[in-house]
Amino acid sequence: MICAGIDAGSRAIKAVLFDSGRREMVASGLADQGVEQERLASELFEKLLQQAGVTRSEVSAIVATGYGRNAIRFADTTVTEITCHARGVHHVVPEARTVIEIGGQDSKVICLEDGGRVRDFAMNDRCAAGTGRFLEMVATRLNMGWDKLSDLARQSKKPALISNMCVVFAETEIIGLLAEGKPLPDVVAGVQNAIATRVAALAGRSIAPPVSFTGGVALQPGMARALQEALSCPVHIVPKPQFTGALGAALSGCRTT
Amino acid sequence: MNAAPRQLTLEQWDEHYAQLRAAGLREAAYGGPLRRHVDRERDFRLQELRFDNSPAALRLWNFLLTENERLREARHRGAKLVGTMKDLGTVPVMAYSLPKVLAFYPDGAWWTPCLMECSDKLQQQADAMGIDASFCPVRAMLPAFQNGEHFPRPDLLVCSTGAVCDDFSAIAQRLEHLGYPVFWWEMPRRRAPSPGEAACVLPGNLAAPRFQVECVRSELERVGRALGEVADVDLQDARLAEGIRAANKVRSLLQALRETVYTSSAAPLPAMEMLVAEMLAIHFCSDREEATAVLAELLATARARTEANAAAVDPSAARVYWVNPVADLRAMNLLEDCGGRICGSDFMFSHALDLIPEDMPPLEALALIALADPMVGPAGDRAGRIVRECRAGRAEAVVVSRIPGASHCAREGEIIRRTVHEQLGIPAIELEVPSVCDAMLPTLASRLQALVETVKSGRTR
Amino acid sequence: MRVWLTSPWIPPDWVKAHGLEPCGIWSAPEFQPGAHALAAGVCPFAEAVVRFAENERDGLFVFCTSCDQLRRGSEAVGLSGQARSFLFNIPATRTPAARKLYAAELKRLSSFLVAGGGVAPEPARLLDSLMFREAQSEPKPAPAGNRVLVAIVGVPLDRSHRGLVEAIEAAGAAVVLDGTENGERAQCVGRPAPALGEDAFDTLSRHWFESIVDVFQRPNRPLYEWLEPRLRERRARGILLWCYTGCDLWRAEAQTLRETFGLPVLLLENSGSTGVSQRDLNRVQAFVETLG
Repeated sequence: MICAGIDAGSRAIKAVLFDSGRREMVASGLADQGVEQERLASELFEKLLQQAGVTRSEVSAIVATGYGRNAIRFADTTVTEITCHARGVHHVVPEARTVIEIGGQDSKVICLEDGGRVRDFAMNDRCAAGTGRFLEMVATRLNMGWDKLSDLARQSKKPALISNMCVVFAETEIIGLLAEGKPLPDVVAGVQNAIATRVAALAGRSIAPPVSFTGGVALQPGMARALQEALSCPVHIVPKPQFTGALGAALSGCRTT
Repeated sequence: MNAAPRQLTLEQWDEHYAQLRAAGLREAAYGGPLRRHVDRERDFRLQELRFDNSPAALRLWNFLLTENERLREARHRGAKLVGTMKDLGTVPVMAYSLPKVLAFYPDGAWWTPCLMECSDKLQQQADAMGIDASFCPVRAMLPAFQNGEHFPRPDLLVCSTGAVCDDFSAIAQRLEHLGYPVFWWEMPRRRAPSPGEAACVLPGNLAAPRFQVECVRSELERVGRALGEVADVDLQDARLAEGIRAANKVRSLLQALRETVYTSSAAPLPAMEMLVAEMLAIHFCSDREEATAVLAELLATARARTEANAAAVDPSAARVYWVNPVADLRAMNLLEDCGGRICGSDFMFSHALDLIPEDMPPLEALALIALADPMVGPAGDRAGRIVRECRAGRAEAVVVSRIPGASHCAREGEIIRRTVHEQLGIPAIELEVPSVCDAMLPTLASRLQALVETVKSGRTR
Repeated sequence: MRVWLTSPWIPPDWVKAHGLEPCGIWSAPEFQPGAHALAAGVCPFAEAVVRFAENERDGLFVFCTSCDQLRRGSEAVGLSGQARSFLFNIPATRTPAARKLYAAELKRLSSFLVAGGGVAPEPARLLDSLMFREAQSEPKPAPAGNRVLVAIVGVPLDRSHRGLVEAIEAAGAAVVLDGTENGERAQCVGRPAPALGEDAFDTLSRHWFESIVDVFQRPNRPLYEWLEPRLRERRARGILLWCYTGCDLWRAEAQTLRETFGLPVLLLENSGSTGVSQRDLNRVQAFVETLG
């Protein structure tokens, strides 16, 4: 049985096709998010079908998740991203007990029981500090690609302390630090630490290892290390972290079919 | 008149009201169509809410929404008005024991910005008075006093202090600085008795040192004298005992209502009506006798529906225990929209739902009840009661609703959630509901939906 | 053995009388509000107290009920089981019941201190220590020169934020009144005068209870009665209100301070930074410029 999962996030749409017999993803892809969410999602879905050599009628269920899930009207059902990320991570890392997902505009900490059931969760979707948005702002300000930031952070000798809790004011603070001559790698590493600190505060005392790190921001090297320091425990990046939500959606489809 | 339970929009209620009237509906003097509150009082929020379709619910809403009128009429008749602040449920029992005295909670103005969808401008006015949005929505009370457009100025203001939340305490102090004298009384922070210390058993399965009960009793004696001066009548034990009996009638009705609704397999009444009904416990919505009648009718409706297996909410809904009242009533509709139902509640005044002992001196009994306030002692005690009630209501999840700016929410949520996990193993989340939550509906819905998904996936195991 | 106090209204004399060393938490070098990640709504000061108590292995801790954040913070420490801690119920009112409550809390604290290694105080020695305690007199205002004279009120100024006073001076002002919680209000509690029929404990209890001057009192008129003559005599032209984000009790007084004294008030709210932030420095400079 093939099920499709579509994660309509705030910055990108991710989709996977999952074969429940083989217990693996047979296709995955992503596209930039835009105003016509449903059309973009539909095009991505068609592309995956071609990639996997599968027809639409062979897909038993389409499940949408993420910020824009209700706009994907061709989906059979919707499931929240908390449940989907939990299921997605559990499939790939069955022993995970805490999932940290940092996306473009939100961050989540999800506590799992044995068997991958969600026990508890906390979300920050009201404030950009502690999300990928902070890194995007820095990249824009430094006129470089988001993915180049991690190269810089790696070179840091002494990460800067970013004190502002608000991304808007933190931007001013960063400009000030650069004007004072603070090395760029230290500033970028400081931003990573600030995000990790906010996520650690969101988690409170609920962290139970093993901790799995997922979401688009997990792709940035250095962030896992920053989280490890903030949480004082090892943090492991889930393979293909940007697809866990879509994978979890597809798994949800397999459950209900 | 015995239609199957449904939740109606305001528009649907217009039509339903006409049908009820045609069928011979008899109402109290404050009755009438809900629509009039939008037209006359600018309670625009009613246009976004869904209401239970029973005549009992209609009576409840009309009772709630006509309180300010009732207070003004009482003032006109020469009654004395006592504004009781912070202490939820004890001083009003004393006030209502006196003839021609009504007590009400000025703090109740916290719902005005919600009901009027901020057209009241109370929040902006509070900003200008130096109390901004970082304080809890009770700040709406300050300009409500100043502009006199909501409740009349009370003849006496009584406020508990000590073991109370900071933001409320700060707002009440600001009120005093603005020229409203306040009669303050001390509430000690409840603690467990030390080994060998004389102890008292409090309602709600709690204990406190005898010393603390004595402290509160002597403070309530002082309050009683102040009330007596306002009423020009001594608040003697006999009066107080009668007042306690009358209050206990209300409390008994509420207990029965909670039991009927919360333990039922299919909720006979929706969450929003239950929240409003429970609020009657604290000061009887300024009419103790009528509050008793309103609750009796609600209870009869709930019982009849339970017997007929008639559910107001989907029977397969996730059973959710709700902690803390919401600044926007719409959140209670949202819970049900997301597939949940309420099976228990702690709206911060569980002590006002317990019966006041009638077999001891009245002031002593009131001191015991006042000390049993969940907000006065450790959050662990509160969590303990929540766990017991979760078991009774077969809760599958707990929602701790944070009140924006409320100082107690910073830490107690974590303690409550941890206790619930450890003792019940059910999910517990926190979410924050502002006075008008429209902009946050998607994020609130995500959280509640995720909680319901978690609950329902657990059911298939 | 050190006893860490979170309020100046828990008499240090009483702790000393038990043979223990009282220390205000704000004096500890390790105490750093602003150094910890904060959950939503948690005050940086209260969080720092909780973390300090959890990590402090050797001393005893006395929390207080003067604010909700500290009151509930003590529960968090209790749950972690790390510290030997006590929650002292400081009354908010000055009613007869409140006075008895304060005295009872001192006795209860005594049991805690004895259990923690202290010695039950002997009445005669207690009386001696009260009579002969060093009473700090109020500072005489220094010649101001051209400086703008300001007062600072609010929560304790801990070591990590003492730089604020230097920043104020660098901006061209002079702090002529330190009305912070660990400033003159508590430092200048005088020597008690025993009343007839009172034993040493009663004297201590009454004296300290009546000396409390703080924002959490209800009504908090004593705070304003304390501030008024001092602001006037020392010719302060502005008030810096120092507190933390989440400190509702002080933040709510900003407008009342303005209205009561007719002076400009600058609210300096620390949301969790160690040291004095650039933002605060800018505000102080701008404030002094407007007063100048």
